[in-house]
Amino acid sequence: MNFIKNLTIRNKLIFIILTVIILTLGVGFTIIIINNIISFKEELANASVMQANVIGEYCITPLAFQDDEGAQKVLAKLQNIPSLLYSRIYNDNGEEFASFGVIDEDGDRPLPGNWTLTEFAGNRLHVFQPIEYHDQRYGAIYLLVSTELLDQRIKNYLFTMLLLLIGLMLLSYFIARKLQDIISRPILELAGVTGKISKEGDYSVRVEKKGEDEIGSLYDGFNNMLEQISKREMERDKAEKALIEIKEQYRMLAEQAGQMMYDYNIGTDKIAWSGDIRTITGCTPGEFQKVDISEWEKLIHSDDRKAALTLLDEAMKKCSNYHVEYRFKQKDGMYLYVEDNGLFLADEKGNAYQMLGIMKDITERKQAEDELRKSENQYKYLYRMVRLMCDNLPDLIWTKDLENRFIFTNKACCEQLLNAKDTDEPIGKTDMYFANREKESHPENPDYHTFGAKCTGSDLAVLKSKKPKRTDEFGNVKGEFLYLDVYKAPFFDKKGCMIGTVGCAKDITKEKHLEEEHKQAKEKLRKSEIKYKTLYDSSMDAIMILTMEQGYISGNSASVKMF
Amino acid sequence: MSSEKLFSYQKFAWLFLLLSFLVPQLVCAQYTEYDVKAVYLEKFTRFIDWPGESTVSDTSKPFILGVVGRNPFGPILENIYSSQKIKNKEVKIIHISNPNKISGCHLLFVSKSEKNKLTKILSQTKNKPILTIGDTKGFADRGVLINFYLSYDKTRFKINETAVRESGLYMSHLLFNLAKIVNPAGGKK
Repeated sequence: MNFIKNLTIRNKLIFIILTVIILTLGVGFTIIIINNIISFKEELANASVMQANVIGEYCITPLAFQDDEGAQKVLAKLQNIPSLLYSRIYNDNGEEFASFGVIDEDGDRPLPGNWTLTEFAGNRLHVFQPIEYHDQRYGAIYLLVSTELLDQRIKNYLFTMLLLLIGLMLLSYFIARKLQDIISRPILELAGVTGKISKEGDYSVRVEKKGEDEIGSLYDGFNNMLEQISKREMERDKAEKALIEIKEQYRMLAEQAGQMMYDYNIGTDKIAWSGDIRTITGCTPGEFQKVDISEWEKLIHSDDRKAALTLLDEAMKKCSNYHVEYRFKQKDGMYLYVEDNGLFLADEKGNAYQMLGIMKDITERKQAEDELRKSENQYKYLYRMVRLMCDNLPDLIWTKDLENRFIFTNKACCEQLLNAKDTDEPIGKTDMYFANREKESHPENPDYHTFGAKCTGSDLAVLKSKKPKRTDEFGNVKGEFLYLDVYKAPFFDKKGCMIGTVGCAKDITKEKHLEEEHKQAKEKLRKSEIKYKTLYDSSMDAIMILTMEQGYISGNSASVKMF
Repeated sequence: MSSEKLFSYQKFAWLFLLLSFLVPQLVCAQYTEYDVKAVYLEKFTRFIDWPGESTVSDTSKPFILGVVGRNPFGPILENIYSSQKIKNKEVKIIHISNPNKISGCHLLFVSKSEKNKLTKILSQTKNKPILTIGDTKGFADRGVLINFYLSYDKTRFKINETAVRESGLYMSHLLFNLAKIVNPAGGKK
């Protein structure tokens, strides 16, 4: 039935109509013909049975009165019936009584058991009928009838029906051919318009609706679709234009950015290269188009090739993204560092058939990374040096973030103030963490550790003021009094944002002790002076102080009175 | 060939001739003319219906078969109809010598001996449902309904159609088809 698909709609409709008609007519005609042929046969059989009964009736009296000549005469009258080949009368003993005509032995039939039979065999009809009168059997009659006339009639009938069938089919064909226009014409017109549109690309044409049926709706839908297509065409043109522009921009950008794009056909191993080919490869675009997948492999530095190809195989199997960095050989033999980012496209079975990607020159970045690595090493060296210096200083040094968590502490700070096991322990912790830990380690002695509360306050003051500050901070540490001379300052990043505080402190406990002792001695002296002054002023004796250079300097009231 | 053997052949030929002559005679001797006619009497009744007023339709009464005049059948009728019924009725055979006593019969065989009394007999049966049968030449023409005659040694019969109509009996056309019609009802046939 595939040929139907390629027929025109007009011929399809005619084919369908004719198929239906032929099938229905065929089935109908077959039933009618079979029915009529059966009727013809029944008609002949019934007519023959009737003839047998009539003839048999006329033979009753010849049989009753043994008048075989009379029976013979009756049978002889049957010669006028052309289809009757042979007739025979049996008496009531089943013996032949009279006969007429000629019969061959092969065509003869014995008298059946019940003396009744109607049977078609070949081109003959065998009819046996009993001869009875008033419920008395006198014998039987056998007629051998030729069916040639019946066959001829059936042939004529079949011929007539065939002619009728052909006539009806031709009539159906002409009517179908005429009527199919009702459906096919609008569709063909629609197809014509569609062809014109596809040929000329003119979406402004419209089909004229001719009715309100489904085809009318189809026309409406088609016109609506054309309207939509026109709109989308315009939008697509815009989008395409924009896409072309974007592509061009991207190509230019890629070229400007030193990027090279590729389209790798996995089936053919060919690669289409575009972008800034010259910068990355040193070749002209024409030269580099010859580079296929095997050539590309050879251009990868031998140290990087294995890793690059292994990753390529894995990505191809998984149809995943491909990302690798390798050294790529240029035309002059120099190597560039490239970053290769690819994407595999898979068919419906999940097998990769295409790869799209970009190769980017990252030599500068790689050099920068090398520089950075070197710089980091330098920084590490400096850090170690600073750390060594700080850890060997007797003063306490630290750095805190905005939350007062230690970023850096030197060994003296850990040992003298925080009681940390090493310089790493305080990182991320606050003063209060260590203060509380110290207090909790000696709960029986509330004065074991009292240092710390003032520290937090001074940190906040520095953070708030964003200015350096010098304070004295003191309290008990490990059960002993500690007095620190503290310098704190805000800590800014490159951008000037405050990111914490730095501080250093000097243990001046001994100095403070000496100062206190001096202060106490001074007080004692003052008190002694007051005492002696009182005595001086209240003395009745004149007391004067004289120097060699200046002479009189001072004297008590008694001396004043004296002079 | 010896004379003794020739004798035996002659003897066999004589014997064959004798048998070929006697056997057909013996076979034919089985049914006499009146045997056939006696059987035919019943067969006629199969194709004839008696009118309703006749006692034939009364199954309690026998079918009266009368023979008027000298009985040519001998004991044949008694032999046959002692077991054979006519019209599904027992058959009573009566021999009539007085023509005045024939009115009760359903079937009356008129013997050749009554050739001279036939007019008187027929006057008794006229317009009555009595099937008159004879086997004397001219009886059918004179008014006997059925009359046997021999044709090439075969028993055939004539029917007086007018007499049949007048008798009130209904006779099947099948019987007319086989018989030679005498005095047809619609004129000469």
